[in-house]
Amino acid sequence: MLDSSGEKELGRDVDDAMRLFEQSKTIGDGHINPVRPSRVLLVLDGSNQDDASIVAAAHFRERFNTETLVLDGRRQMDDHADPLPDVGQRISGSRPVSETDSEPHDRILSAVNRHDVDLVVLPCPLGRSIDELGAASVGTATDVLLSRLSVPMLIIRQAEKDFVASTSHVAVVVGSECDVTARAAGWALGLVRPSGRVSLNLVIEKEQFENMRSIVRSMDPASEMDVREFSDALTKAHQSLHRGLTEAAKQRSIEYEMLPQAGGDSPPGIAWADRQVLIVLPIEVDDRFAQGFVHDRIRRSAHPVLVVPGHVVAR
Amino acid sequence: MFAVAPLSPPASFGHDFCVSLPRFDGLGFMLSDFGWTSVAASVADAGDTPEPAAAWIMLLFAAVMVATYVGVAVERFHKTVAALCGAAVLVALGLFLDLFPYETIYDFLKEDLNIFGVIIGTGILVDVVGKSGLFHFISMWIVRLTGGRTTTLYVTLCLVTFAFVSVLTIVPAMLILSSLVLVICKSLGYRPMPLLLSVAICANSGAIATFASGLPNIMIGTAAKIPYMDFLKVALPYAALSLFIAMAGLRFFFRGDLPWKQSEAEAAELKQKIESFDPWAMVENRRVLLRSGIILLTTVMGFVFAQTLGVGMDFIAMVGATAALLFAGKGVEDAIAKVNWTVILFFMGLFVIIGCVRETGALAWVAAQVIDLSDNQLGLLIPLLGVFSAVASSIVDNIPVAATLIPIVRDISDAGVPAEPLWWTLIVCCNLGGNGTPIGSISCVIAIYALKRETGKHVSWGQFLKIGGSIMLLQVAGAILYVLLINSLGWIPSLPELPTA
Repeated sequence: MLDSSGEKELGRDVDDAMRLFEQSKTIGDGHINPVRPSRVLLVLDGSNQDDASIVAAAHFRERFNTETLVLDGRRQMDDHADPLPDVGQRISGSRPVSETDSEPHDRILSAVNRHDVDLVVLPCPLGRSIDELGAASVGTATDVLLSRLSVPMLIIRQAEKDFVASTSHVAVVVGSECDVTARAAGWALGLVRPSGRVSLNLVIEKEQFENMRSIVRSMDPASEMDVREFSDALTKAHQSLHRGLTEAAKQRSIEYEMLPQAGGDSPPGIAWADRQVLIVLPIEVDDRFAQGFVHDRIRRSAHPVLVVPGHVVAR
Repeated sequence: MFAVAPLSPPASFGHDFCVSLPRFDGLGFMLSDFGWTSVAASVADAGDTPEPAAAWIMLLFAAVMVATYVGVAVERFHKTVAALCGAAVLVALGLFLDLFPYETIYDFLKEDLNIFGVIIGTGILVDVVGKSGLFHFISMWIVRLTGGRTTTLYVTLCLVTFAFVSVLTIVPAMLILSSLVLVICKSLGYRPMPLLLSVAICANSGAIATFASGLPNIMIGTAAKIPYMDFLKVALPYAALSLFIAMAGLRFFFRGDLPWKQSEAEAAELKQKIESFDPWAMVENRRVLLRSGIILLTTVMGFVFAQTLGVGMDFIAMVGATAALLFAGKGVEDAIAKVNWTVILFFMGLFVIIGCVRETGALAWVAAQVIDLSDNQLGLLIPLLGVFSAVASSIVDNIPVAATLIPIVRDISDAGVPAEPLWWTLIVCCNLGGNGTPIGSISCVIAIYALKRETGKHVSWGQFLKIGGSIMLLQVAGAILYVLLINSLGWIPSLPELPTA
């Protein structure tokens, strides 16, 4: 038995040790193995994003022979609700699963635990149109799942975006130090289409850069710390990952580049991207800064976003 | 075979000690026979040889001590707060009843100052060495060699746990290994519960192995002045045997929980997965890692030769800590702050409680009852002490159990019984008692907590009692037989200087 302060201290110590061990997996032996889904949970909510979600799940089925489980993610599941699209026609071998929890996020979490799912395809915001909320919110379900889901989650944003086309450029966007970056890179390599392109975007947004620079200058007034110097440091800090991705991309004839983006502006809003891109975001769920960054990127994205979580505390 | 000399009156209590002991057949009797005058009389001669106080005083003090231990066991309060409260109450009562002068409290603590030195020294050393990533590196490097196969991984984890605990002490070793198990299981697709519980239970075997592998060892070793080498001669062999018992028991209980038989194809896949871990990725600075290793090794050698060098373990521990701060430490303040001050304060409270109760003569009375009960036969004393210390340690923290039993074992041995077999019984059984319940030892607490936190899986009391309880019974029975056997063969080294009560 532990009291609350002892529990907190022990929790911190366990976290630290696990982080160190996870770090050893991150780098591995320089090789990054592609990760592909084998069992997908497709969440449908009756919104116009369902079609895009089904396209994504069908793509996984076709390309990786994944098993598809379909979950009703609507808040109201009564007899009067409109029927959900018939997935069976479009994804062979798909089967529905049912959960009894009242909240959609609880049903998703239960289904993931019970069926050993390794990827969740989720419309966002769940049960509402993106046109209603815009970049203002990702919705409660996504919020909860971002902090509790232990498996990667493919977030489908705009119904018009073609998921299959987005796999031609997969961008791993890293906003801070993160233990699961290599795993996220593995997912990017697994999902990018043959002869597609993977980029490693190392992002320090302008505001954050200015804050850091002012702190460094207050400690050392002589410090220059310009954008270029900072970009070099970012490159250096991610050298192992860069080496692994370069090697993996060469083996698979994939185009790869690292893009240090220190001091850049944050994405303006949902309308920002005309290009097709699949964004991959690693997240340590106990890292509040990373959570804020990932949350912000999802809100502002019209593209599908794959969130690869690490260090999820079971509840 | 195990009979010892008949009980002679303990020197510390005078010739008529046995006959003057109170008989607890009623409060009226006690009050009439042991009133205020007898308290004053007992205090008059108070010093190193406390005279027995009145029965009601003994009972009162014992009740406060038991209440404190219950507080420690149920964790209604923080255990340090419980110990300090108990100490404050007993000191106030002792002074109010004129049982001992205030200065006697310093004598209670003076005897155990070296324990604080060992705790502080090893705390700093372990923190600095731990931060260098040395043990994370070694554990991952070894685990990687297993190729991830269940049987090899299981055996390796148990052996590594044993080795780490014997060098590092139980808490840091458990933090490293439970995290390693969780990460490895996640990667290889194994259920973490069987491996985590295996690590937790094997840790208690490792805790027996050396002088510095656990706090009860440090306390008993210091009190009995047991040299480090004697631990290697007596405790280490049984630690290894108890590890074997634990591994066999755990393999049996988890026979259906892990994929023990794996095909070549599965083995190849596991090998590929486990080789994706790079132990060097955890090492920030190889020079610091090397220095940390050298300092730790030198300190362990220092423990081994402390007696030859004519210094105490506390000196070696403090020198090791200083070297670590000088040559391998990154943050001196951080390392010092990591010293377990909670345990030190807990010890202070505990030593004052034990000292106060001892001043009433209650512990000597218990010792006399034990001698009476066992008829001075080591063949009875060893099982009695072993079973009691193991069961008590599985319910209460083994530190208060060891702290309470140390003066009792001293008193028993003062009565003519050889002390050595009793000390070893106490060391082995109060460590292994931790396997009995999920709250019995810090290793089980850490493992169960980490499992719940990271996977949401809860280990019930029933589930744990079935596994840990059965293993504890076998280990404790084995320990009793082991001590009886090596004692009868004359293999237990005599202590260089027997402690005096």
